[in-house]
Amino acid sequence: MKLSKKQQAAILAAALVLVAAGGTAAFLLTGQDSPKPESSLSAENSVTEASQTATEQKAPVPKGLYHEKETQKGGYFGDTFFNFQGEIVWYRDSEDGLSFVKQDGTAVAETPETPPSNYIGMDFHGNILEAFLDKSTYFVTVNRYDQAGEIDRTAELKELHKPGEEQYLHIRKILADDSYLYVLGEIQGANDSYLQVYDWDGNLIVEYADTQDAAIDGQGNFYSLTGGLNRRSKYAYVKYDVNAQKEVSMEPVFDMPYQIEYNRYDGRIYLVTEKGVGVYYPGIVGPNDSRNENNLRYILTLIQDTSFTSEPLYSLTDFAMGEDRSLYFNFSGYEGEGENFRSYQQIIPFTFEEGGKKEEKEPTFSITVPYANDFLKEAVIRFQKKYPEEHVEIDAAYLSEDAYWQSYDLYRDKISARLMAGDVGDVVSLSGEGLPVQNFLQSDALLDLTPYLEESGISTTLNPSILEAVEMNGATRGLPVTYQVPCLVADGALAEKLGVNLDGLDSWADVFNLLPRLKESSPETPLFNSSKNLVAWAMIDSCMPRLIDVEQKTVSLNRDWFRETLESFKAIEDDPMLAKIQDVSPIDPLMGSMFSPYGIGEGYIGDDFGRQITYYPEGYCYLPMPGGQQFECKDIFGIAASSDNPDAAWKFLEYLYSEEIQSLHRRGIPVTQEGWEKDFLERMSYHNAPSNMEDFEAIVKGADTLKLQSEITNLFAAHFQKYLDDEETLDQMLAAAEEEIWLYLNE
Amino acid sequence: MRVKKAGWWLATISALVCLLPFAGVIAGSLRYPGPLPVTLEQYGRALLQNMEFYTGFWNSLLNTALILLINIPVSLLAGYGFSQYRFPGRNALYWLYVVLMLLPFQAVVVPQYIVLQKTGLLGSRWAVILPCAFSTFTAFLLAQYMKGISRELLDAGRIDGLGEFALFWRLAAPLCRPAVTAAVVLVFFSNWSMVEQPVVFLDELSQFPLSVLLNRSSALFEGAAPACGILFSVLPILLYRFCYDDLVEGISLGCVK
Amino acid sequence: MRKKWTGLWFILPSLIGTAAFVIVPFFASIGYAFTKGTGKAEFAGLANFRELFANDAYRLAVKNTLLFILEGVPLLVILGLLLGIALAGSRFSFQRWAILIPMALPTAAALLGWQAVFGENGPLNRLIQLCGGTTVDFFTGGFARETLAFFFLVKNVGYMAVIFAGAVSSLPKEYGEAFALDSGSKTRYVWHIILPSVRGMVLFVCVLSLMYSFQIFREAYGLYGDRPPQEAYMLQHFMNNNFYKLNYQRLSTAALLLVLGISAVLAVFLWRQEKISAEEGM
Repeated sequence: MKLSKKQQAAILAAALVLVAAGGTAAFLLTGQDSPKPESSLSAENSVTEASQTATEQKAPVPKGLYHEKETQKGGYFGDTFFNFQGEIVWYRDSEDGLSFVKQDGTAVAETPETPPSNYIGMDFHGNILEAFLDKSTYFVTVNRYDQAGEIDRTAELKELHKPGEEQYLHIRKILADDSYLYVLGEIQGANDSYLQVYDWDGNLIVEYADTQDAAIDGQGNFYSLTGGLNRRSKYAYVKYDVNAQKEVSMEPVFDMPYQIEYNRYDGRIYLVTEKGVGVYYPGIVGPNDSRNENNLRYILTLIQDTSFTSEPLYSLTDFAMGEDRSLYFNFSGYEGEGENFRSYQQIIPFTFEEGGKKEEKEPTFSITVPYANDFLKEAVIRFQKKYPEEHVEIDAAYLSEDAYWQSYDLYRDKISARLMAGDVGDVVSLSGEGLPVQNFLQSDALLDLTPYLEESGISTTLNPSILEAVEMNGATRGLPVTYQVPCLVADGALAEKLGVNLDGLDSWADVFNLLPRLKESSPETPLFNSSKNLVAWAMIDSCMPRLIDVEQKTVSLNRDWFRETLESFKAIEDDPMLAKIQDVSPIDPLMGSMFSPYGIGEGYIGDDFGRQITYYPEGYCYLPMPGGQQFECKDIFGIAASSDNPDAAWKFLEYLYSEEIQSLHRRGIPVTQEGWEKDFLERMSYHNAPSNMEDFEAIVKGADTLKLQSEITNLFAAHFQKYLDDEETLDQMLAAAEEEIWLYLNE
Repeated sequence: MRVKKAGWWLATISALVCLLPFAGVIAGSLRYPGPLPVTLEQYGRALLQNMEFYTGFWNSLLNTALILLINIPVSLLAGYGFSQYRFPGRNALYWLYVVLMLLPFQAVVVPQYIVLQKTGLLGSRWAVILPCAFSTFTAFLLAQYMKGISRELLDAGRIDGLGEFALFWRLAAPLCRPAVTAAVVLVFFSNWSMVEQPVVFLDELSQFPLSVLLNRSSALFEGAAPACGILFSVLPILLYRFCYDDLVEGISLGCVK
Repeated sequence: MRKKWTGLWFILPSLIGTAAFVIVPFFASIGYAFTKGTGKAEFAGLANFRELFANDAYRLAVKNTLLFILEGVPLLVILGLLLGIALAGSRFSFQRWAILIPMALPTAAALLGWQAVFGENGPLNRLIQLCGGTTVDFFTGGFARETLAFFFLVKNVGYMAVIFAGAVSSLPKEYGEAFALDSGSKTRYVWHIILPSVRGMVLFVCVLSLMYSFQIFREAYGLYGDRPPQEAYMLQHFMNNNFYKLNYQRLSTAALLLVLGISAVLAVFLWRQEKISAEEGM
């Protein structure tokens, strides 16, 4: 009897282990991974060649180094590149005649003798294309010349957009294969760039508006960067099969793209974006596809590998890639004034050294972050460029913000242990949703930066209220680089109609009490364009700092104004018109409701500003949060007490406050006065100093309290929910919450 | 007889109460929102949807097995040493061992982190195995058991010419089989549920044992948590069944007087 | 030949590993209790201790922990003893098997089960409603500590009962027969014979229960996370939360005090055990 029991148990155990083995094997073989959160301390990009579209087995992208070669500058260079059987050539107009030259200056083809054309180009096989514009009809005639210089095909294109007054039709590029002509046309002065595809009989087959650039593969497909199709990003990648007249795919591209190239030798798509040149993998998306982390792998990074930043990209007229993987950039430029004014093209080539590796330098200091965001990466690149003797190592726990979000509570445990053990980099990032910022600011695991601030004199340039808000117990252990301020967008016109004085809304109770009035006169209008939860959180977040003093470890929730606020929320809590989520549109945050929670600096601050002036309907205005003026740090850094090289760390922090970085048009409000003022004043002048921007400035400048870490606000929220569910009375709830928060503060 | 009956009632009620959590989680695992009152859907989800279940399972198994492989032999030796010999400082050391048994993890987490970091073990499986493999509870348990080994037996062995280690290996160790079984089972139970160490000493989700993953069940297992709990409990319960008799004997420190 | 240090050789493998991973960290953390400041640590004498005693959160934690121990341990020992006596000498195989199950069930699974049973819509509350009462919130309604004590009891009573059953079974049968001859009452047999004989075992079980009472943190954390209800806020919560506050000094000070307290209790136990073994001629 006993034996069989044991046998039973043994068999069952073996069976379980077999099932586990089987399940594991099954998963591994089918390669079917559940959307796993990515967390890895090694900084390898997760996109491997295996994850490309399975239809094409390609050789892996060769690894190597790009070397920038001498810039060729000339007023007589064409602004477009052509791929002549693997070699990249461009048009040169010199005393010797008109010809197509390659990088070393040798000509590969002479242009035929023709009357001056509006456009001259070359197709892949070396046939020259010329386009002639008839100024009266705006028809374009395109001739193709064979090797002997004779016209062998011609097409008359009649559908190009006609320019209006003071406008000018410019043919940017004409690509051709044996069946079709792809014309990138532009009406200068009207902000109209478009792509049209014709057949050689002159029939317009397809047209895409707002096209930044296009490339062809010679088999009847074109690949373009087209705007307006996808609201999630400014430009989308489009692949179109002209033979089938079908759009094969369309995907948003999030890194701002400028040029697209199809490499016929490896069959891949290359994009030039604000970050550099990268291989684009269509069809691959990440866990939260609002970034190109997974489907864009950079082979050339701006600033790091190039002498130019992303700013000149506005004047990038063309980009090309040769068979030997060399890269060419063609920028237009202007110099001189008046009589001496001239425009020119700058061609910057890059050669590819396969297998080349950058020399590994010992890092001089390291930065510990939960994940490396674009801002940090660019700051590090620029820093290393400016101080070539410094080599920075970014120690990121997660590859992306989304990966961090999936495990941020684990990161909290980890970073606390590391800080206490001294196992962190020299610079430590304190930002990251869910991290207890106030705990870090009070801990002496981070250095008090006051001596550094005073010695360097930076403290005078920083926004004083921000600086004061991050100082705790007499020490400043973290410095924010940019910040954002939660506020409201309000429909001033509607308010006026209701007879509501928006300036008189001192508390959330005032706001909530508007709902009955609103319902009376405008029953279709919700009070907020948001969800009930988000409104509650906005209310809690803005009120908490006034009730809790983390430094003094005091909490006092039982105040009249707060009680009023909570009671008024509860009174309208179940009203469906309290908050309705409607479509989020960048040009209309309200979508028909009276208020909407907003964050100035959450996105590009230029947008916050510009939208108010240009896009928002009449009467929209920004309102400060009724409870109080707080802010949230977007990027905040400190120096670890265990750092061996605090001076180098401080050098980096100081650099983050340099004008160069602070005025980078990044998300967030710059913390330095100059950064802010330069930004603000620039915009004011650009928009001719509109009058209703004092609110904007007041909100931004008035922020003086740091948002409380979520550990504290979550405590309150749990109790608040009980009150809303009628499980406790207001008094009970406030007392219990106070007790718990007090315990938390005083542990 | 009344006493006997009272005893029966006490034992039976206790037994039923002890089964409550087990029954509760089984019941929970058979439910899924939908038409059927009883369904195996949760098990399906746990087993078929998530790779994490398997990685967690293997991590739990491997870690626990390695811990046992180190802990049992080492503690058996130590228990023998404590119980059969007297040497200067023995009592103090034994007292230290017992005190260490009661140390909560938080008390030593930062120094342990530093030790692991300096030895380069941080972030590897060993960071979680080694600190737990040297838990002093097992030595304590085995020492208590071995105190009951009769002196005469060992002295007889000495007279026969056996060396000290041979005494241990040939005479004392075999006698301890029930205690060793009990120790294996208890150490298994304790480490199978390990939660605090992996979170601080390990980096990647793929390294975590199932005990940690189950705590974050809402993120990973979506409503299949009770089924995962049951699947997670199968091995310990089986082990329990397998070793029941020895376990009971080992626990009750069948002292040979 | 039995040399003086032979015993130590047997202990050596365990000692090396324990020293590296447990003893040294433990003493290092003692060091933290006497210093202030991460990075540049400076000796602070007893300042940390003074601060700790004045800290209300700490006092609450100590109070709750002591209350929990007082509520749980005696009950566990007594119940274990009674159960052990009931099980000793009787067949009761189902019961024997069932009472050890809670120990085998991993904490995560057990909590899911308990939540199902004690939850708002669970069978217990339904029963209470049937009897005309209102639903009781066992987890946060002010009884959190008692609920945890109950879980503690259920988890460990089997273990203690088996220990006692073993001790009682090993009593020579003659005692029972002799006594039964003298007087017919089994209760008095229990009272006068069994109890004194298992005196030593009771002490051992008390210590073991004390040790397991600290492990209740696993359950408490699984149920409540960082912030349990006031009445369940115990020493380990205090220590755990100070870890997240990066206040390792305070944590170490509390841990040291805890260890000192336990050591004192243990010293008594070990001393008594020595006495008993000496009495019994070991």
